[in-house]
Amino acid sequence: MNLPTLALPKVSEGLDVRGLSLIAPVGGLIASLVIIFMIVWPKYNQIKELKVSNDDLVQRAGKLEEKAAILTSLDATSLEKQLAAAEAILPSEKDVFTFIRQIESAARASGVLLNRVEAVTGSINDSVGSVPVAPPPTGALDISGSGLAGLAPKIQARLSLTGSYRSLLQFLSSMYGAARTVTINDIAIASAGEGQVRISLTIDAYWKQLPTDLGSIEKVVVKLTNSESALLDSVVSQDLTSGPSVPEVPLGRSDLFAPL
Amino acid sequence: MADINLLSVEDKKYEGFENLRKKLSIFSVLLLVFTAISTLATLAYFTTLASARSKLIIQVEDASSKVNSYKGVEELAVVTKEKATIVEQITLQRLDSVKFFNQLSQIIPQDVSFSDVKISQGKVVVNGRARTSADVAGFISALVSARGGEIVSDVSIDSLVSEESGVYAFGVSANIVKGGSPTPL
Repeated sequence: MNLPTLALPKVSEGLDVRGLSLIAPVGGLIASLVIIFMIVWPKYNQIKELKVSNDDLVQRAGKLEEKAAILTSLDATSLEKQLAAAEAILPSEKDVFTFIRQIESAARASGVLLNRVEAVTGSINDSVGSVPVAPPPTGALDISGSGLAGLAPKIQARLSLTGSYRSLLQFLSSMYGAARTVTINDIAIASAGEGQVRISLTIDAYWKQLPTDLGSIEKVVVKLTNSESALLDSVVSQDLTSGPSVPEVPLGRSDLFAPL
Repeated sequence: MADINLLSVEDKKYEGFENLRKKLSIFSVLLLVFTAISTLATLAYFTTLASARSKLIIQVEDASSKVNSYKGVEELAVVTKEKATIVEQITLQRLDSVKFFNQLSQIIPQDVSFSDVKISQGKVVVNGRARTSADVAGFISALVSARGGEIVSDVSIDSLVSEESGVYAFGVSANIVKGGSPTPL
């Protein structure tokens, strides 16, 4: 009998078949890892960014709503009055001649004789008063205004006066009492005999340009403090908002060199 | 009687493999479940955050438009605040010379007279005459007293000369102290 000599596979090769049974669990593991690294991990990073972004938005929304609430609570009419007062105490322009009129009025009212007024205004286009100021000695009070230089630009007038001591004090009170904010420095008083004194002093008058930019929309609007409100209210109540005005003068002159 | 292991070596190998396969399957299933849950949770959380972001953006836009509608009021408030703050600082820092002279006049002896006074750079220099040396002493004592200390500090006598008439000419300098409240408007 001729039987074929074909080699039959051994039963032990069933191990390969068993290997196939690992495909499902290994495939599951691979699928899980793929999902974790391709979906979960990127989304987790996006969530972190989103949380930061949302926190920022919450803060912005809070600030804006707070600002809107403050703005809603403000009274425009009252603010306009306060702005007029603020403009009187710190004008938006140099107003050199108004300042000189203020000095003249104070001198007239107090009875001092105004011998000389020298205005140092700097260039007409110079936005900052170009008045050099030496630093004060250590430990001394800075009354020269150098510590105030960063706050607001100023114009300066150097005055020479003659009058009684009481008139001088009255003149100084008038200058402090006027709406426009001034500092009085470099005061030199010398006796001139017969109850008269000669005085030289420097008066700095401050001004501040209107801001051209309100800044970020989220910038908080700060309300006036009680003392600031009181300061402005005192200007309004004393009717100092108008301030001294420069009077109109007649125009026209046929001889330009005729003596005054 | 001792147990007789009747399993063949092949069967033992198969049994070990089956155990490994079962463990791997269980771990795989657990990992799949965990992955599914974490994926769903992550996506749900992401969706929630994205939705919250949309709401927040609308909230910011609404608040922005409200703020913009009060632009005029904001300008008034900002300018007024800026000016008032500056003026208050200037007023607080400046020397109130009227108050200084008034306080000085209250503490000097009656027989002391000033010939000149200079106030500059936070310093005051006084030249004057006194009827007697006691008046000069009284003047200096007044300046260094508690009341004098409210307006001046570091008092020094720069010169002191007696004249034939017995009158003393003196020169005194001191640093000015900022004291009290400034003159109100």
